[in-house]
Amino acid sequence: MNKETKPIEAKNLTCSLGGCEILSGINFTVEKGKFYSIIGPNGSGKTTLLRTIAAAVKPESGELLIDNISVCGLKEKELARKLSYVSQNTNSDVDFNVLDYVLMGRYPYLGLLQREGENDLAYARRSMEITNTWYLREKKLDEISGGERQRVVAARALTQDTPIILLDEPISQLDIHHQVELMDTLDSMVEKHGITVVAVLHDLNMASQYSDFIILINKGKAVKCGSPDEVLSKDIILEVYDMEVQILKNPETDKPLIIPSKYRKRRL
Amino acid sequence: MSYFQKKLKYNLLLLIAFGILVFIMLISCTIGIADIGIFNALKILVSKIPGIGLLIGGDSINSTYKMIVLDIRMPRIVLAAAIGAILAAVGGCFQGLFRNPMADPYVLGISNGAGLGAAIAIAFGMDSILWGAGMVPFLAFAGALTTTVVVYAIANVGGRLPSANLLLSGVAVGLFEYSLITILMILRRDKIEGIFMWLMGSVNAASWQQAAFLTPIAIIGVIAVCLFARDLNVISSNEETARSLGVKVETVKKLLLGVCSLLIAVCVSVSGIIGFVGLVVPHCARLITGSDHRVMLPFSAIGGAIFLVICDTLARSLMPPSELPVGAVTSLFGAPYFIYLLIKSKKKVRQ
Repeated sequence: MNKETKPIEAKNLTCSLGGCEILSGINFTVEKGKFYSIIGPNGSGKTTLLRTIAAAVKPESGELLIDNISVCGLKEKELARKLSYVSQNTNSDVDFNVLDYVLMGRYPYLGLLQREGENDLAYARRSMEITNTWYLREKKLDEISGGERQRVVAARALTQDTPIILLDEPISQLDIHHQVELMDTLDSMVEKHGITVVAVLHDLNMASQYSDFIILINKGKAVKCGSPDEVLSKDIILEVYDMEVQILKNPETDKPLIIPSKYRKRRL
Repeated sequence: MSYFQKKLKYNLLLLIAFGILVFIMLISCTIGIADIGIFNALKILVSKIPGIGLLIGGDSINSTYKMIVLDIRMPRIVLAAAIGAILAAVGGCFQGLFRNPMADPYVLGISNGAGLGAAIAIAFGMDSILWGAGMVPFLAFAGALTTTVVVYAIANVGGRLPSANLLLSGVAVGLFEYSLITILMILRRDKIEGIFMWLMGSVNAASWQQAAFLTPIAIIGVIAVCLFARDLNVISSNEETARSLGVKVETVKKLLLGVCSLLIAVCVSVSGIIGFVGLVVPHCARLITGSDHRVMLPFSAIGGAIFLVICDTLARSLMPPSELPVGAVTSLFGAPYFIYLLIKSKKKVRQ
């Protein structure tokens, strides 16, 4: 193998759901230890792309490689030790203990008859402290708020201890404090532990501030893949989102800051 | 470490529950229409324990009493325990698997399939061929298996078994079979009582053969289901998450459905359709232990056994000399207890 192993590589990926083509001919490569955001309008195929990476959706044609191995060739538990996945729908009507739920993240490491040990509990505790959910450990899942649950689900993903973490709109239900807190947590996982994060985000500014690279999807095609500066330009946003925006520089990070113009103004 | 202490506490509770089960089975032996007396009944039981038996010298006790306790009551109690354990464990498993609190062991129409088989056997007088209950259990078992295969075939979408499809096809096939049972009952009015009593479910014809046949099946079956408790935990929280954690969702589902269907088919063909146990005992267990299937399933199994032994004891001793169908007793006493637990847990939430 002469080239370096990439955590994720999509080659001409095409996916259909119910006879309808959702993704067509998507190509991209994800570098190790970087923060990637997938952005795009509603219904553009962001979630399907993420689910394809997580092997929850089978590609119709093309290939998806994790560490140079096709996802289809990986055993379920092998894949679960390589990547964890936080789905959009975190609703759960069962009343599991929060700690028991987070410990489910150790599933890929345990045999049929094995029980969770001290080591597994240490992983759970660490990720619950990172996500600031340790104080919830004795609560039931259906007793905590939507935002708390989103953090608990993130803690479960961290407990899985994988080099790649996929998240589908992980901050959609969080207030601004917890949004930044979770994004900071992910950011520090990337920086300190060399973890690769791929997150579907709706908030362009969050994507801009935290991402090393942004993948912009529109109508099932990868429109652009690059640094926030390259992807978040006035023209591209107008074309993809049909929105007039102002782009400033964030004085703190030098990253682009997007301010939408009032829709009404544009029509006049 | 409090986490491990909690697990230990549940193991201890499980052990205590098992002790209660054994105790209740023994007490049940001493209760009945025949006035044997607690002391004599216990003496008969103890005399059967190798070693100690000789010291007691059970010879002084009436041999009819001995037969009643050892050959009529005991097998019946053991059979009730085995069936209760299977019904409750399968019910708990189905509720987790389908993520539906209304699921019970009969939700896939297995009971009506067995009922149809039994009704055919009774209506056409096949209950006197061979021995005892004749062809009834065999046709019931065949009916249950056929129904299972048909329901799975209908629900199957490209090798996968979506829960909603399974539940709906189970209900549809079950209702179809139920109408066939009704028509059979109308056509053979002279057999109505026989068919109806079978449908109500009972363990009154229990023999040691049946008990010896079903007990190992119950133990192995419950252990097999409990082996998948962790997978069931993850699946019941969210199927998509389960897949991403490396759970072979479809494989586990098919395995569990297969094992559970077989267990229920065997149960129903022996005892008829005993309701309520499989629906409510798992809920009671869940209210006590929480949703963790690793604790909840064994608890359900033991709870189901205790519950059915108590109900059957009541069924055979409440209104002498006639017997109540145990299926009626389960709801009569189980429903108020369940409502009490529901209200209690509601209060806990409000606090």
